[in-house]
Amino acid sequence: MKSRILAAPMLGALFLGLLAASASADPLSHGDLLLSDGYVRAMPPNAPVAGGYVTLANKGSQDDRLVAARSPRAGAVQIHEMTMKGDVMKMRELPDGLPVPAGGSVELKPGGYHLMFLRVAEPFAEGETVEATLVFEKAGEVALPFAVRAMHAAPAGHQGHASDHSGH
Amino acid sequence: MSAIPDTARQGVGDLYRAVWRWHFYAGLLVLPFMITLSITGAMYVFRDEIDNWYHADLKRVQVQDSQRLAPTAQVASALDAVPGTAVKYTDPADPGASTEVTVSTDRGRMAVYVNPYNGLVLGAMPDRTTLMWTVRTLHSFKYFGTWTRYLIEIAAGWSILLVGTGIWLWWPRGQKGGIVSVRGRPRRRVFWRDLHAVTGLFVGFFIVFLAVTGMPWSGVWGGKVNEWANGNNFGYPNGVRVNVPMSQQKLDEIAKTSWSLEQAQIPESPAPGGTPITLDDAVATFDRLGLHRGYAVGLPQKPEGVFSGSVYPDDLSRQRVVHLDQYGGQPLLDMGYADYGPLGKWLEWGINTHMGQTFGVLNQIILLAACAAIVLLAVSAAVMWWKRRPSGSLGVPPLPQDRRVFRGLIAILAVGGVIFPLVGASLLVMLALDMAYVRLSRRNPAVAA
Repeated sequence: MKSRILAAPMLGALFLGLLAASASADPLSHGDLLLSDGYVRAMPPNAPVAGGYVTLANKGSQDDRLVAARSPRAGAVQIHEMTMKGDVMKMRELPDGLPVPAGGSVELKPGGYHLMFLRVAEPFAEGETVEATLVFEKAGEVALPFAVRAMHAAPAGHQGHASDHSGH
Repeated sequence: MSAIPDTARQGVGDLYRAVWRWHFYAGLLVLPFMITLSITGAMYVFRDEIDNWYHADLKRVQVQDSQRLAPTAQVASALDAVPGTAVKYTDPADPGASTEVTVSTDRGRMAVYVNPYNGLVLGAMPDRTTLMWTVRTLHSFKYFGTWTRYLIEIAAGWSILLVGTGIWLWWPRGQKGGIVSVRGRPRRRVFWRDLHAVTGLFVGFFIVFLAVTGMPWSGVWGGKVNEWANGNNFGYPNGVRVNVPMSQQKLDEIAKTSWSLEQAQIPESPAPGGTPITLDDAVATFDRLGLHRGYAVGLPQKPEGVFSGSVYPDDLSRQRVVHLDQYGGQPLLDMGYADYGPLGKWLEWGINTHMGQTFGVLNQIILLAACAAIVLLAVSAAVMWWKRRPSGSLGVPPLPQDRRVFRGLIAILAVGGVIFPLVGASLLVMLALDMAYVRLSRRNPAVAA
């Protein structure tokens, strides 16, 4: 019962991921890698950081690894992991990057692995596109566009409650 | 048997037995509580150290040279990760601390930890569920529900009784040892009796102090005194509360407050309307007013709400509560320890010392030693009873021959029982049980053994 407290927003975020998948841009191919559905969340006023998501598929026979990322729109882009242990949610940077196994795929999505855009001078606004470059151990660098999507596309009930509480 | 020489025993025999009997009952009742209170208390005294270590992933950040981000940016980041309404912002107490943003969600309150230097959310957990918050609720027995807190109140009262009767039993009556030294070997009961008596002599003061200073948190006595002190200028300065408009919100619902402010109500921003100041403005004001680092800011939740800065640092004199008008930004109320009435000051000092804050590390170490000694008392008591106890019976100390000696004892218990009603009620129950036990033993001598 208690563990559902955090699960709600996370599930909401997961739901957003599913929605996003149905309306994705064309996948981008680079060597053995297929990158699809890159998007970042629109930033609420004052927010200093933003999450980025993308699905990485490795069609080749060699394991690869996402080791770094950067964007002209952000001072830094980090590779992060979100974990839940009981009621405790933790976010941490993955110091060794994120493996993309041969013949497999990794989904960077809310509630799991994701990119964090730091020191964003001009907040990401819904509808625009943010350019970013992903750096892989073997496949090298891939530039790809991230669509900016509305934040918190959670199930209606959840958001409704939250806004009821705030009187301003 | 008892360590008292025969000559002395004849003189004080009856009274000695009566006191011993009640010391035994009180001990039986309180022993498990003394152990849990000591263990959880000893941990809680080091709450900051332990929580900062156990929850380092959430509570600690790498110190950076760069400026901290604006509070509004940190709150926005927290809300982006955990959607809801921000109700409290807690300033990092030191350069290596994270910011804590309390977010009200439809599933309850969450504590969201943010790196103040880069705005990254470090993680989140249900509010007040850190290891030390759990230990705190175990210490107060709140963990097990509301009524269990009454048990702690009773245990505190009985522990005072234990010290009183214990010192009386310890009082030298011509024996050659067991006053400040321990006789015999662990094999013998006298070793445990002496260990218990000598430890008790030194730790008795701390037991009474901790029981008395812990009482303000208790359900019945604490609740009543809290209510009284706050409705009374003896606890609070006249005018400050009376002349300021009050909202219906209690401070305790926003931040963990000092004990005597628990009932205090937060003033309202007098005239709702206009453009509210931002959290950044409020924090700048609190900094300018010199609030001790690590203060909590309760965020206004309605048009007449206020920004409430509060902080309860180790240094009592820097306890402070400041309420800012959410439109004008001016302080509506600014109170510190110096403004409390004598009762408020006295109670806050007791609480601060009970929590190991008043004398720094020395305070923590003394309380840790006291807690260890209390566990030793409980263990030696149990061993001593085990060694004395006749097989197949409870081993209650024998009843005095002349029952009149109970009168003095009962008078003392009655006075204590009136001051601490819940303790008094439990004493009556115990007295009734004792009488029933005596009746039963008379009918069936085997039970008394």
